[in-house]
Parts: sequence; structure tokens; C-alpha cells
Amino acid sequence: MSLATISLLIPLLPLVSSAIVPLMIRVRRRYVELFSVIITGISLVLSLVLLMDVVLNRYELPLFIRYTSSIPSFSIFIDELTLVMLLIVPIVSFLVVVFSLGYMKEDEAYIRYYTFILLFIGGMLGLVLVGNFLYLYLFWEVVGITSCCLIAHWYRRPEASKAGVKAFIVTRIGDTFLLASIALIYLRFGTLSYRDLISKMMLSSTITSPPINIAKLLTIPLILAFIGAMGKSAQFPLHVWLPDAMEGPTTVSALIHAATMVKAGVYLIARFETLLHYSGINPVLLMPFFKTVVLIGGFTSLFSATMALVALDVKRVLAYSTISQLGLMFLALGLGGYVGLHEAFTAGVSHMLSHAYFKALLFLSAGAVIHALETRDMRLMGGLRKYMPITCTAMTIGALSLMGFPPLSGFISKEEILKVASEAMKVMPWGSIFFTLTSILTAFYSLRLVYLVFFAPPSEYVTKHKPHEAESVMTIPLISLMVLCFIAPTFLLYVLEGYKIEVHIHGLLKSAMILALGAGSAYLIYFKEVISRERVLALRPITVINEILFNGYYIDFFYERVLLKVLMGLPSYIASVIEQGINFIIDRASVIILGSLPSYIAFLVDSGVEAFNNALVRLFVNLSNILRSLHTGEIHHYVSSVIVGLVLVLLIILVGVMML
Amino acid sequence: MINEGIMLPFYTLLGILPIMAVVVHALGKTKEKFLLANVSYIASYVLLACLSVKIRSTGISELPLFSLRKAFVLNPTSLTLATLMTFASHMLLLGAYMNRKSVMDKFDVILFMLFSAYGIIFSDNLIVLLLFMEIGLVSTAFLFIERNRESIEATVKMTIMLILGGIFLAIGFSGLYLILRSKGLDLIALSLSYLSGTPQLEQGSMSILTLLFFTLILVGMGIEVGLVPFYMWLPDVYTGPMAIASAFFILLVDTADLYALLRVLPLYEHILTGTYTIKMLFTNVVVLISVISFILGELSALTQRRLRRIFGYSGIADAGYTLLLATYLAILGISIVKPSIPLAIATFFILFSNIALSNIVSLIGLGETKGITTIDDIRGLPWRFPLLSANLIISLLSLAGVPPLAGFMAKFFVISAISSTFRRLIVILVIIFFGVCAAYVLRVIATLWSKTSRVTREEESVIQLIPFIILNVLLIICGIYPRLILEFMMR
Repeated sequence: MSLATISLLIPLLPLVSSAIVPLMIRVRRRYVELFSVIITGISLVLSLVLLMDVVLNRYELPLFIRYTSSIPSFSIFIDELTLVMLLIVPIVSFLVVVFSLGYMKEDEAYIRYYTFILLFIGGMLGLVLVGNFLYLYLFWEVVGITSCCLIAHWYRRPEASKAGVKAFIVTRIGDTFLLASIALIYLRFGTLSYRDLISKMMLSSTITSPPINIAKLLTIPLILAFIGAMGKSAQFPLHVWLPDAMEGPTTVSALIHAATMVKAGVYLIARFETLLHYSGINPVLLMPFFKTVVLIGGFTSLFSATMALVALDVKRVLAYSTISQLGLMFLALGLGGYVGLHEAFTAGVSHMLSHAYFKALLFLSAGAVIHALETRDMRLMGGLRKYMPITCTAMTIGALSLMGFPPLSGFISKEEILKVASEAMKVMPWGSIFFTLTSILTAFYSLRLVYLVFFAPPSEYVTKHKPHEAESVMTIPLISLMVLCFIAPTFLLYVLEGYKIEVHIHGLLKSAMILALGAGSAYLIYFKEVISRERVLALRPITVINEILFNGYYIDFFYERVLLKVLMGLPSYIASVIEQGINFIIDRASVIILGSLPSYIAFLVDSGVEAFNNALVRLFVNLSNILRSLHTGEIHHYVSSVIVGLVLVLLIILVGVMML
Repeated sequence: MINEGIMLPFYTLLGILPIMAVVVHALGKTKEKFLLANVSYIASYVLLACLSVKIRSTGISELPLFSLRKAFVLNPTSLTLATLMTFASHMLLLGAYMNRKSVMDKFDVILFMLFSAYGIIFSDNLIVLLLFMEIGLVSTAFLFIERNRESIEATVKMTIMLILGGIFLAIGFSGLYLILRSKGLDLIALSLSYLSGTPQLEQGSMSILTLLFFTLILVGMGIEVGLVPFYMWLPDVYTGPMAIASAFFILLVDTADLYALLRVLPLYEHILTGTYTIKMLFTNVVVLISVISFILGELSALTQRRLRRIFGYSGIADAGYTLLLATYLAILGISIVKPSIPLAIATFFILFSNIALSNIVSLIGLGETKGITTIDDIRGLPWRFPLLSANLIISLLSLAGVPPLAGFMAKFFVISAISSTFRRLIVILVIIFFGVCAAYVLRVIATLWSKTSRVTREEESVIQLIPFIILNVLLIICGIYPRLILEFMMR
């Protein structure tokens, strides 16, 4: 099977299968599940085959495979970024689908669930493989819509339904900006194909074009695309949908809102960086863009980490953590403008890979806990390590990787980010500041999470429920992800050109300090209880801070109660103001200058328009009735119409000829 | 150019269908008839595929029939049309069988209809075209005839009208032949490929005669496809017979006839080019007929209450748009034998409009067994039969021209084609009446979703709807990626 065929089949199989699943409505559930597992398994195998083929045969990257000669052409673009995404999406998708066999086994709407899951997987694979921005946008939308449908899977619950709508609306804002970016790119470069863009950008950056043109051409589209990425990857201020998206099944949260879909925004920015790199453009020319990415990514990472400190819903903690870690990825990518694209890309992408595995691990572990206890409230948990040892180990390893504990993958990828942040310290100190503060808070809330769920004294709820370990179909994916948390950097060694695992003493010391501050304080407060948490929380300033963080800085409140009302009410308010103004002017003018004539004319126009509309409708309806009445159903009328028609046509022609 | 390597598969394709039809007729059991009909379809696919592959390497091929040179012509456009039409009618056949429709006894007739459709699509000679049109008429009449008054009435009306049409065509073709024979030409003069490259005829009385005979051809074709004022039989054909029978007619015979209109009508541009003003006059008359046809068709459908009849009038409007497209081809001077973008987009329009129409009529037919005949009967249908309703809605949306369905692309192609060639008024009228079409289609959809009282879900079988689902998928795919079909048509 050729590389071109494999590349096409990888997204095509799940896409086509998503159309087959609804037809299996009468088929036994087991077969539907098996079908879904097989399809995702085949996609996984094909992805690994593609990866190995490219790596072992040392193909010169990037590879561009064109399938059609039409415009826009469908093509696939394979480079290191694609290969990294192929390590993430198919693997996590397969493990989540396997996990779903156990987690969703009580759910009656399994047909809908697997349809959307397969459609999502196909969309995500398509998104990372295509070599054209138009098709990228198409798959971007597929991924967005399926995500919203999956969030609202249990739509009979109002919270789930509302969360799905919210996700749709918020991501829509970002998608609009992305579309604008794509339109601008097309207007400025005349193409949306990655390969052609690289050539055109390369041409623009040569001596014939002064470099200033690149900044003018690219800055705004890149910033617009970043806003699009912000929507998908839940960056401030478009982050509000992700915590609420936890209303969906945990498998959906693991796959979509931790490992894959939210990475689409990071992928998009990384993709732009690769295009810049291939075309040899100096990133210094695009500093406004990179600065924006660093500042927003960094701010979001810290801002979200603070909210995770106080959340009580286990999935919500992980949601905030995801937003925070995505912010760090953007921060890393943004530092490409300061330290060089390759280093920043390596940092961002390696963290994307390791995050996918440990976050999926954390979510699935949380899912196993929720499945056992039927609650997400951590106050009702505690002491679960006795009942669910495998899940406890899984969540602990996931948390340790999240904290950046060596030798786990999270440690390696965070070292990369730390390295680039330190290098850029002199010109962009915020990178280091955001990273350090976020990492400290991350270590804190990760340990807090593990403690409250597994190590705290068991609550009455736990002792009443007597939970048990998840079944093997759920624990096997957990074990697989645990292994991946260790070996992820090994993947990168083979995939990323020039990637080396380097850990310097300075970096080690800094990481140790971060862990000590963050995890250490969490350990002292929770495990050792050196201070009474209740007494601290009772302090007025702490209560206020806790309240603010717990309510997400009241941003949701602002959006829903203030901004939405203003935005919805503003047009009609403006319209009513204008209308009143016009009416006032007309009335006054007519009274002062022309009597009542203008208002009379206005009245005539208004009623005229309405009358015209009504008349038009009546005309069409009456004509229709008349024309229908011509149809008598009598055959002799039919023949007569033929003869009359023939005579008329001949007459017209003869008259016409005579007049010529 | 006559290509002997293509003759065998092509004549096999033409020959196998009537032979299989006879064998099917002789068989007693419905299951055996069905199986053999499927075998015929599969054989058709294989032969069409062979022909498509051959055409790619050899180019356009002309084929004789006995001593008649240039009786048939094969090009990528006609082959693509034939292939898709075969596939769509195969789905209808499967749908008819799965839903136990009475046409199950008439698989032989359906094969004859397919045979006549091939003959019409591939014919290069006007006499051969007329012959296959008459075969189409006869087979359709046999398909329609049932033991109920409405179907008998519709069949009789259709037969009488189409015989009249055939007569006008015969007179027109004969007249044309006589004029051309006076130039020393034999029956090859009636070859479309020859006529579209014919040197201009001189001015004078001969050209007036040619014009008159061509007018008769126009009238004859107008009757065959249901243009105004010759249209009255067409809505009856949609409503009188069994729905699935009407669907076969729409998909096979009507589509082929519309394609024939696309190829025959533009001949006037080549035949009458010696007399510019007469040609302009004829063009204006044709445009007038097409405009009146689509206006009448769309308006008549607007207040219609019987479901199938609504779409019968839509068929009249489609004939009007097709005539406009044929005029567009004529004005451009496009060769109707060689593949080209204008011919491809016109073919795309008639094919996908008729696939949507036939699917709609078939699905309405399924609903008729549950008492659904008028627009009021469909209230609450999505709650009663969700899958049937979903399929119906997709086909309706395609007909309305909603993206990303094929109907949208078809209408888009029509507008983009005519906007470059016709006056702004014509373009505006077309857009307005596309809007009227969307209005009455959306009216049907809106009525579907309204319910007056509690409705309960009734049993429906997914398997029985699979053929119609597949046709809807085709509408979606070709709407998203129309280039796929267009490239096949122009290769």
C-alpha cells in the first residue's frame, strides 16, 4: 500500500464508518462497539505504519501528496508536526474507544455516541493531515460540531444541553476569526495550499521584496488565526466553554477536551510556525504576533491554574489544568519569535505530546472513579486507593507527569519549555515568570487532586457505596497510557529532527525548586496537615479569594448576565433610539416646516411596503390558482393546447420573418 | 471516428437489456425476475465501465447501426450520465423490491425503459433518437398501466400526447432530411455530429423552410419534455400511476429526453447560421417558451395541495430551465458531441434535478401506503416516520437548491451559465423563480414539522429505505464535490 493511499485511508476510514454506524441501529450493541474499536484500531495501525515508513525510509520532509488537480486541490502534508500528531490522535482515540466499552456500557444512545466519536476522530485526523487551509477549516468545523454534539450527549440534562450550546457559540467566535484569517491569506497570496504558500512566502522574503512586506502580509492573518486557535484551545477570554464541557461523558472529555480537539489550536499555530520555518522567514519580523501568543498563553496558563486550586469537581480541576497547560504550549510556541522557531516548536510540540498522554490518563482515571462512585464531587471521595489501586496508580502517575516529576514525559517537555523561557528571559521575562508561577500552582493542585480522591480519609459516601476497581476494558487503556507517560520522549527522539533530551543542572535546580514549592506545600497542607485548612479557609480574605476563584473570576457571570444582554439588547436599543430620533425629527420638521406631510409620507411608505409585500404574495398565489385552473384534466384540452401552441409559435415565427 | 474496439461492449450493452427483459418476462417468480434484473444492471455497470475506460484512450467514438453510419456517438458526458442514471434506477429497483411495490411484476418493462434511455442518450442520428423515444413511450405506458382509473387516464393522456410529439418530430426530421438531401446528402445528414459541423445553409426560402421544420422539431421536443403550452400531460404522469413507476419514468425516460433536448435544440445554431436575424428570432422564441415554462411550472406548484402534483409542476419548470440551457449551448456554438464545460453543467443540472425528483416521488409513494397523499397528510411525519422524513427532507432540500446538496450546485451552474449569455431580466427571473421553487419546497418541509395532535412513532424499516438513503448520499457527495462528476463528464 503506498504512502499516498495510507495517508488518505487514515482519516477516511473513521469518516466513512461514522456514516455506517447509524445504519447499524438494528445490529447488536456488541457488534457496533466492536466495529468502532476495529476502525479506530485500523486507523491507529495505519498511522503507525505511515510513521515508521517515513522515519525508517528517511523521507525528506516535508512531504506533499496531491490527490486531485482541481481547485482547491485535496492534498496531504507530512512533516514532523504531522508525525507527532499521528502519535497523539490515533493512539488516544483508540484507547478512549476501548475505554468507552466499559464506561458507556449502560448508555442507551450508543449509536449516536459512536457515530459522533468516529466522525470526530476522522475530522481530527483529516485536520492534521491535510495540506490546504480550506480543508483544514472544513475539518476544523467538523471537529467543532461533533465536539458540541458529544458534550450535549446527555442532552436531557439541561446543564449538558446548555454546555453544548455554550461550546458551540464560544468556539464559533474563534472560528469566524480563523475564517477571516484564511480569507486574508488567500487574498494576499492567492493560494491556501501549504506547499504553494511556502514557495510564495519564500519568494516574498528574498532580496526582490523588502522584508517589511512579510510583516504587513502576515501579521494580521496570523493574529486572526491565533484568535481562532484561542477559541478551540480555550484560551482567555474564550476559555469559558471548556469547564462546562465536562458535563459530557468523561471519555469525551478525555479524547476531545484534553488530548485532541483542544490541541487543534496549538497545532494551528505550530503549523504556521513550520510554514514560516520552511520558507525561511525571520520570526523577528512578526514580533507582534509572537508577543501576543506569549502573553495570552502565559496569562491564561497562570489564570487558569489559580482556578484549579479551589475547584471541587474532579473534572473541573482537570479542565482548568488543560486550559493552563495549553497556555504553556502557546507560551512555548510564542517564544519562537525570541529564541528561534525550531527550539520553540520543539518545546511546544513535545509538551503537546506528553500532555496528551498524561491528561488522557488523568481524565480516564477520573472517569473510572466517577463510574464507580457516580459523583464528581471530590468532597465525597477519599481513601479510594484501597478500592481502586490501579486507578490510583494511574492518576498518581498522570499527576506526577503533569507536575513535571522526573523521569516522566511531563518533566522532559517542561524542561524544554523552561529552556526556551530562560533563553528568552532578557527580551521576554514574562515567559519565565508565567511558566514558573504556573508550574508551582500546577504542582500544588495536582497533588491536591490525588490527595482528595485517593489519600484523604474516606467519606461516608465512599463507605456506603463501596466502590470497586474498574473492569479490565477500562484499566487496560489506563495501563497503556501510564506506559506512554514514560516513553513519550522516546517517540520524539525518532520523530523530531535534531531532538535531544538535554537536562541541564540549572534547569534541574529550577524544576526541583518549583516542585518543592508547589508539591511540597500541597504535601504539607494536605498530607501532613501542618495547618488547619478549615481555619485558613475561614479567614475573610481567603474566603473572598476562594469565592472569586471558585466562580472563575466571575467571567461567566459577566458574559451571561452583562455582555450577552448588552450585545443582544444593543442592536434593538440602537434601532429604537434611531427610530425615535427619526420620528422626532420628522414630527418636529413636519410641524414646524411642512405641517404633517413628512409623517404622512412616512406612514404611506410604511403601509405601502407592507401592502406591496401582501400584494406580491397575493399576486403569486392568484397567478398560481389561475394557472392551475388551466389544467382541466380533459384530454381534448391537452390536444387543443398543443395545436394552439403550435399555431402560436408558427405565427410568431412567421410574423417575425415577415417583419425582418 | 468509428472505433471497432468499442463496438462489442456497446452493442452488448444495448443488446443485453432487451434480451434480459424477455427472459425476465418469461420467468414466473418475482424473486427470479428481481435477481435477473440485478444481473442485467451489474452487466450494464461492467459494460459502461469498459466503455468509459476505452473512451479515455480512444476519444469520442461514433458507431453505426446496420448500414446507418453514425447512428450512435459515445463521449464521456453521455457515458457519465448513463452510468449515474443506471445506478440511480438500480437503487429505485431495489427500493421497489424491498417495499413490495407492484412494479415488481414489471422488471422487464423497466429494463426496456433503461434500454430506451441508453438509446436516446447515445443516439447520434435523429431517426434513431426518435425510434428510441418511441420505445421509451411504449415501455413507460406498459409500466404505468394498472387496474385503476387514474393510472389508465394518465397513461392514455401521456400516450396520446407523446405520439403527437413523435409525429411532429418525425415531420420535422423528415423535412430537414429532405432539405439536406437536396444537397446530395444521405441519412448521415441526420447525424447530430454531422449537423453540428454543417456548413451554413444559404439564405432565402430554403432557410425559412428549415426554420419551419425546426419549429416542428421544437414543438415535438416540447411535448416530449413538457414545455409550455404542451405540458399538461406531465403532472398527470406524476400523480396517476404508482409513485415508483413515475419515479422510473422521471429518472430514465424524462432525463434522457431532456438530454436529447440539450443536444437537438442547439442544432439550429449550426443549421440556421446563414441567416443571423432568423436565428435570433428563433432564439427569442425559444427563450420565451422556456421563461413561460419555468414561470408557469413554479407558480402552479406554489398552491398545489397534492404532493406528487407539486413536483409534477416542478418537472415542467425544470424543462423550462433545460430549454434555457439548450439555448445557452446554442448561443455559445458548443459542439453537442464533444465534451465541454457548458454541456457538462447542463447535464449535471438535469441529472441531479431528476434524481432528487424521483427520490421525492418514491418516498412520497412509500408514504401513500400510510395514507399520505396531500400536503395536509404529512403533518407530523418526522414523529411518525423519522427516517422516511429525514430522507424526504434531504431530497427536498436538494430540489430547493440548499447547499451543500447537488441541487444547489445545479442551480448555481444554471445561474452562472446564463448570467454570461442572457439579458439581466432573464437572469433575475430565473433567480426569482428558483426562489419560488425554494418557497413551495420549504412549505412542504415546514408542513412536515407542524403537528396538530399527538403523533406516535410507527414502525419503519431501515433496510427498505437504504436505496433512497444511498441516493441522498449521492446528492450530498455531488453537492460537496461536483467536480468529481464534471471531471468524468469532460475527460
